[in-house]
Amino acid sequence: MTELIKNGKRQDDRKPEEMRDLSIEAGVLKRADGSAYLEWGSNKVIAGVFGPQKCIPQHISNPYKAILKFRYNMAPFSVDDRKRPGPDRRSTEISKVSKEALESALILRHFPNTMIEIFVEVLQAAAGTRCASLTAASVALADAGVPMKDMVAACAAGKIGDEVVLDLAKEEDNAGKADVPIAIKPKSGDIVLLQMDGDLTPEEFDETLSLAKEGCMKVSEEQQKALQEKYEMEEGE
Amino acid sequence: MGNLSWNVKSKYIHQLAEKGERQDKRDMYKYREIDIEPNYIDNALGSARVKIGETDIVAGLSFDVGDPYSDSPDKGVIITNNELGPIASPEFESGPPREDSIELSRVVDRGIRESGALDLKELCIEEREKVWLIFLDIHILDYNGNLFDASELALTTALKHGHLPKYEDEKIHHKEEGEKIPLKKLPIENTFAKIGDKIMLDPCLEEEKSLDARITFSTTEDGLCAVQKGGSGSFTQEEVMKHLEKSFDHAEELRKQIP
Amino acid sequence: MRKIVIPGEKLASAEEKNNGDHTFVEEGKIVSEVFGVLTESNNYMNVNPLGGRYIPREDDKIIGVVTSKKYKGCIIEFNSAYTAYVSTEDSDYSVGEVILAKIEDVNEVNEVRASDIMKLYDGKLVEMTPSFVPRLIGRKGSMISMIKDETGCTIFVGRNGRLWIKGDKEQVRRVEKAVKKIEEEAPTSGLTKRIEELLEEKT
Repeated sequence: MTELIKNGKRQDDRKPEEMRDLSIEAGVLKRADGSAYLEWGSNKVIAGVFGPQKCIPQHISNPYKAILKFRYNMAPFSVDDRKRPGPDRRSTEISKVSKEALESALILRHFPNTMIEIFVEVLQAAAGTRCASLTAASVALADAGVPMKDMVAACAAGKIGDEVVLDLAKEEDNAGKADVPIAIKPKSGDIVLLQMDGDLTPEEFDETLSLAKEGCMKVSEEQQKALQEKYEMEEGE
Repeated sequence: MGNLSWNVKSKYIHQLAEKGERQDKRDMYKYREIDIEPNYIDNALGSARVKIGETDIVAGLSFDVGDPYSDSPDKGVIITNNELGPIASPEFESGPPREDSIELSRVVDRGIRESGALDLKELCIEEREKVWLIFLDIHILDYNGNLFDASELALTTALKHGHLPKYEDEKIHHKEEGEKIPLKKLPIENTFAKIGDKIMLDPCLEEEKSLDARITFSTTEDGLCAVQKGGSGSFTQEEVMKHLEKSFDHAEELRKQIP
Repeated sequence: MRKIVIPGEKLASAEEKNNGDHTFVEEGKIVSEVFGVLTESNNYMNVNPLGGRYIPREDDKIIGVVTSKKYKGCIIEFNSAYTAYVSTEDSDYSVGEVILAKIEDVNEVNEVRASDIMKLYDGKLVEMTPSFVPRLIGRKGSMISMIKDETGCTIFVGRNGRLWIKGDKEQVRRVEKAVKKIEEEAPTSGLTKRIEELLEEKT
């Protein structure tokens, strides 16, 4: 097995605490109420938000607040081995935990009896797609004018060999010892998404959480930048 | 029961939680009464029925021999599934699995898979050609909160007491006991519910419907192997680490109860 | 460029300022709820959203389309998650008619009662982002007046992001162009001048 980490450098030349390149653009789709396109390492995802709109089916509507629907979907060509179209169990789980992560941040009580739909399409996948998707979704929601107490920023950290590292790349995710994707509300640092699988001692888990949180803060800066820059292009025209 | 009546109950549960109380008068970190019955189904070579409070689950193992996955030609395969059937609750309908059911399967599966508790290499019959496929099926009979812990307990018990069927002359003899299932460790899950800013172990039905967030830790005797946060609320890092520590003790407590 | 803020962004101390539109107070700080433009008036910090579906408010004028007739009234949809009940003593309605209405009442589940101002005929229904309607109208109606004068069109504006434009086809197109530009450049400075320039182009 080729070494994932040698002399403090990872296979893609990153340092342990270094994130892959991330860029986000807000307001990229015409028909959606809000949208965002995101590139993170080789990941390419696009998020679209619709609503608040009439709740369908009606019987699931809530008279106290809007309900959220989140659909994480991978395009068949997004991965090496063609992924059959349609929801699979992994996508369903990711959709669920992502929706729950956002519910904590959105102010839904302004819109009784409505629904807000969030669709994220993974166009190209390279490890960390759920963090990329949730990050894009949060920008798309802001772009759609949906009120939130705070944004939601996501990032993963994990362990490869004996080292805790930030933002696992594909090969690292496959061969590594543990992967911990998280999402936080940046102001408070409260964790709204947390999953882990692998082998970590409590100390390593704590270290991984701290590192992932730092990653989330960097992600949050990019989200802010994307929204600020949405109208900046118009200046000087 | 519709949306709105759970809303009303939730307010009551939150009020109790604020005072550090639970509606069944339990301590914050105490399990409901646990009942574990291994080999519950006579036909199956591995099964268990587990009750935690009024939550009632049966887990059964089925077997087949087939091709390994191409990226692990010398390892057996486990497939975890559960059914949140209509019998277990007026809210469950028959039909394709809902997201709750899928999350439950995947989290319970991780506890077993990631821990390496099952030595998948010992389930290899002929490398690249034939391996054992073990189907871990969870059947919910009565949903009254905390399906994660009960399901994991049922599967671990079924695997601990289970046997592979006899495999002779390229045929599976489903009724005959072959070798013991190679279970090396006992994976356990412990789920905590956060209600307001109080955190408690083993949510009952009303607590689960009222909770703001939940977190499940999967551990074996050797340590941590999986974590899943659920629900619309959030945890601080301190809360996560504090309850990870607690889960090690509670897991031991549950392990001791497995016959 | 006016100051653009994002959800969760801290704006000021709650001790020094008051929290206005689309803001809330958390741990002594005034925080923005939405992606929008920060404005301050009378010591109130307000945020004007740069997007979002229309939430019905009392006294707003809206443009809606009749979806069903009721006894002495009708139901209209107004490009929102909600519908409005328009009651009237005398008018008769057909499905598909366009009405300019005024919102009289909104209850806690956003059910809307509205009164009929007038039916709208012979025009084009155009939709825009509701939050930019005030920018389209301009201070004391200055922007919309300028557009009406330069194009000779009759324009009815619904706060729900709907416009009813009547006039020469070519002129209607020019109104739409101006509206589109306002949507794309809403928070930027010097917009009024650029719209003036756009309207002065006789194409």
